[in-house]
Amino acid sequence: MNVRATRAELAAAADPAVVRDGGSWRDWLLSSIQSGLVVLDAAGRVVWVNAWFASRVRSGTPGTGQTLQAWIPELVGSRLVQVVDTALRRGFPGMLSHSLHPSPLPLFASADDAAAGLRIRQDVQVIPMGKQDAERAGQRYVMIHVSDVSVAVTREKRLRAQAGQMHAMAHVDGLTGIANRRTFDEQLAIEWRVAQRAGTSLAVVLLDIDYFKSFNDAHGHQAGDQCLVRVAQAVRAVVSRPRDLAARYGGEELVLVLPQTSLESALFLAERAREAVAALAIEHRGLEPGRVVTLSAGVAAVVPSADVPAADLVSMADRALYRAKGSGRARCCALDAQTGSFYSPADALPR
Amino acid sequence: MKLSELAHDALVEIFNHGVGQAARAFSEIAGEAVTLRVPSIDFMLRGELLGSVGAHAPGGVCGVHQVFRGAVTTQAALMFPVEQSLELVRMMVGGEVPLDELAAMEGEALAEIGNIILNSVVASLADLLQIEFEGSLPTVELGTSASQVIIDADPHQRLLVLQIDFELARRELHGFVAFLLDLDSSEVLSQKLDGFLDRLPA
Repeated sequence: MNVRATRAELAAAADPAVVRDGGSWRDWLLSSIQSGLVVLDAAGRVVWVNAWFASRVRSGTPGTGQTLQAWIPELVGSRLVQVVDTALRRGFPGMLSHSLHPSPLPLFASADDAAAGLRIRQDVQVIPMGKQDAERAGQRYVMIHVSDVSVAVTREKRLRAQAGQMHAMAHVDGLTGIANRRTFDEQLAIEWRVAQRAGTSLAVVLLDIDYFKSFNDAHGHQAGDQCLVRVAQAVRAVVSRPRDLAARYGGEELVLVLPQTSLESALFLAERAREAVAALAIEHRGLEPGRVVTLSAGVAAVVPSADVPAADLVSMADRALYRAKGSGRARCCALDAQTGSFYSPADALPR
Repeated sequence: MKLSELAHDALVEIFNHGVGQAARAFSEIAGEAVTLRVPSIDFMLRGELLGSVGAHAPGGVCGVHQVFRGAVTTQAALMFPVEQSLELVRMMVGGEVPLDELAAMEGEALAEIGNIILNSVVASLADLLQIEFEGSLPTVELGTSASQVIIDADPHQRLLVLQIDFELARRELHGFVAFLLDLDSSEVLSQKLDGFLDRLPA
């Protein structure tokens, strides 16, 4: 059997003959390395610290014969000291991941950071000498290797924040700030399944701004956009339960998804939205003087079943909206799925 | 190599003593009591181990390796079911770390968790066999099949397999530690084991 070599082992197996003229540049190399190195002897005494580590630690230089915890007293009883102990006694390497120990050593990038107590984020590896090297050296030395992962940690946080922003952007309508069509499609599919499983009623309301094209013609597209934003915000303000959704369906059409809502309740909410928009009193100069922007709404509700697609509910709401437009606009209309007949808020709904 | 009941119990006791130290390290990291137990050990063929791990972790495993060299050379592999490894990291990190953040730390944190367990178990093995090992740093594989983790084993070769149970905050997780031994090492191990068993009171 070939025991699979790890990366560390492959590195250790590198031919030492490759290092030529090591004497002339080894010191320079060790003092230039951009991570922290500390070497302990077999008794755990600090025998060497590289420049990177020395310039970032705020514990001065170690006294002769000092152990790590004598030099840096806060390490007494710490996990790092335990790992060092295992390396010294057993010859087993160990590590402290920055996830579980963000900053085990008091290392600081600058005096300001030190004053603020902002430590460098660290990955720490503790590597004991192998048997052969230890025999050659007369004892088993242990190296502590510290990498600064602050930059990687910050970058990861920024990337995650950006990913969150992208997600939000992909789900919000750029103009109105309410949910977009994609969110509506996703949410409807989810609520459809939930309602189907729970056997509860799911309602959809389609809302359309009346005579929006002539509003744009009369006021210009910029005013049209502003009108859309105000209408969308007013409609969203009407739905307040946590799982209710108000979204822009497309153009000047908005849509509500209302879980656990009967046809009657959905019609009531649609009526509230219609009133809220009328109350904005946005002048519509494309119509007779004194007319304001109004909404028409179509309402439908069903208890979903497995053999019916969610799109059927939307097309029922669409038929109701068409009926509301046909009966003079600025009104709401509901389609009763059972009887196939239309109702307006003035009619009593059948129980 | 078939273990008598007595030998099995003696070995289980030794390994439990070893993981006790790991448990103390985990308790300090997690800030609450962590219990580690080795309920059983066994010698298994590669196929048998893959069967057991597959039944326990149908969604794949996360594995941590270390190689230990000495009179006996062994590749030690710790395996946890994929779903449980993130849980394990969450238990260690504690608090309300969001899931995506947790997933980003998973590999690194598992390397450390694996390192603690494998070092403690191999320390027991070293004491038991009275040999010295030198080890490598851990490497991690996330979300793979057990056959990818124990890749080099000869199908007829027996592996020393420890089950390992983690208990923290009334939750339990189950993993496996497998030792792959080369042929020479297998012989040394069985001699040393015989020696150890001879020293046991009858």
